[in-house]
Amino acid sequence: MAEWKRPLPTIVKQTEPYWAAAREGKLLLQLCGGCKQYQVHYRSFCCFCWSGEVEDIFARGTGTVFTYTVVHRNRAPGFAEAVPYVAALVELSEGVKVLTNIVNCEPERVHIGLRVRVSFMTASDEIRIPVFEPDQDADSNHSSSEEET
Amino acid sequence: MSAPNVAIVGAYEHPTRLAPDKDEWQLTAEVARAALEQTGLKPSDIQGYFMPPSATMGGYIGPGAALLMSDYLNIKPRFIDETDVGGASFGYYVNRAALAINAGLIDTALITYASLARSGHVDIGSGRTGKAAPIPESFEQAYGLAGIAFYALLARRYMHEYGVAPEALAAVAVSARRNAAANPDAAYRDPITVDDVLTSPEIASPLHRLDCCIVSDGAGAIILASRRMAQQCRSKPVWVAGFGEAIMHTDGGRSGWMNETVDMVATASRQAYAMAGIGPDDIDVAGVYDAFTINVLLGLEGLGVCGRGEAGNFMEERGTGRDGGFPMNLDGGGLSSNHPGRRGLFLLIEATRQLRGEAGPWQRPGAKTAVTIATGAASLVRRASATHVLVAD
Repeated sequence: MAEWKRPLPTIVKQTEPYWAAAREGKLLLQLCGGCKQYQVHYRSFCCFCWSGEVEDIFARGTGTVFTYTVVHRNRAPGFAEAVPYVAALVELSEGVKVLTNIVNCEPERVHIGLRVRVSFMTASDEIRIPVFEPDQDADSNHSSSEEET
Repeated sequence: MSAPNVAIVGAYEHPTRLAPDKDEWQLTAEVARAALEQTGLKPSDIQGYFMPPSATMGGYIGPGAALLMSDYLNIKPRFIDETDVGGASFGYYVNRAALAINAGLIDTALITYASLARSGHVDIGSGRTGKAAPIPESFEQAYGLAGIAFYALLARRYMHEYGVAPEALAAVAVSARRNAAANPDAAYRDPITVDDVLTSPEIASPLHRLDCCIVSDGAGAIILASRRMAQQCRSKPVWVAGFGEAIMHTDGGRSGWMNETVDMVATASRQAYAMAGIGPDDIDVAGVYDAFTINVLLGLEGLGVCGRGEAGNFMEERGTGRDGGFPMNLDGGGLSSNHPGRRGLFLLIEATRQLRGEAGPWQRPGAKTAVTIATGAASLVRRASATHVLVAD
């Protein structure tokens, strides 16, 4: 494993379940028992109706690229070595949008509507970071032509 | 609409764009003194003081800045604030000062900004380091989305959703440079073309180097006064006829970031228009925050001067120079004149110059009504925006 030079997440008790799931290769969402809406990022209550009854749900792990950028310049450690890399807002199948990187994909192949699936980068023994890569299982007609999300 | 009770009576933009031999404290003193000099007031007349504690990446005084700077300037304001919402902070200060004046707490207020963003070699918008806070940074910082890349996400979505070509973004930079040619203090004055923008290096696609604001050292100050105090000043007042503000954020994952940016500006602008009793058709000169070219397109649509996805066509059809149908960022804006980390204050100073008729070679003749929008961020999509309607005396 390459040395992780990017900022490491700081885990607090409230967010520990999210990072514990990531450690196991699962992307954790929350579904509100009151208003039945999914939310990100992970927190101790429902941010829509402020109910405390939120349920942990493993995301299907699939989504589409909602918007993206190919970053060519970033002098910060861990990024300077990685340029050009792709940062994206991905709309999960559950409907919420997450900031992420698109990996294992030539930057020029990334487009809005690209179907992607979650994967994980190892940052340390305890921490894995969710990223996304092209979804090989998705219908190839869709992955190449679907533009609308 | 009742007659405005709050006026800008002093407004000064430091001519420097590179000041390696100075520091933020000295620059603050220089601009505060120059703005005060316009009014005829004395330092002891300053009753309110506002300044940002920390430009996240440019401006280094830190929490408690308004108190610390009051000591340095040796003023004793009865009302201070250092609300920190990035480049929008200065718009927020005008709002808070106006509220304090209207509440009868103070009769005068000083707003300052100074930053050595350029000579300090600050990596504004292109890099970020440090320990990630548990919320929200820990969920985001590993992905390397600094300021430019954030706006690149908006630009990409905007182009996709409305079928806008990159030339429309590039034209914003060309307009700024064309206007800057008339401003001897502007950092860059040589003309550029759409092709120059599109062939400059990509920083974060689809944004190129010339889609990005310059990084300058700089400083500015504004003095506000109640109507009663304004009448005692020797300067020509510019009235704060309307103001509004709004914020945006992730909305629990529901926000798509781009259209919500326009929504935010629109919310603040509707409030400002309503207070001033004007509408988007009444603007003589506009100041639209231009940290990146995409900001201007989204800002114009938020101002309601055109529909969504139409800002590029609007600019081309109306013309944005001082002789155009929609004069905008006539000093050259942040893209060509001055952007020391945060731009919000300079939009208000430029609008004041225009409404006093003191903009010199880049004056829009007869400008009576100006609208400015200052937008800034706490972190990525946690953003704030303020709209102001200013009118000549």
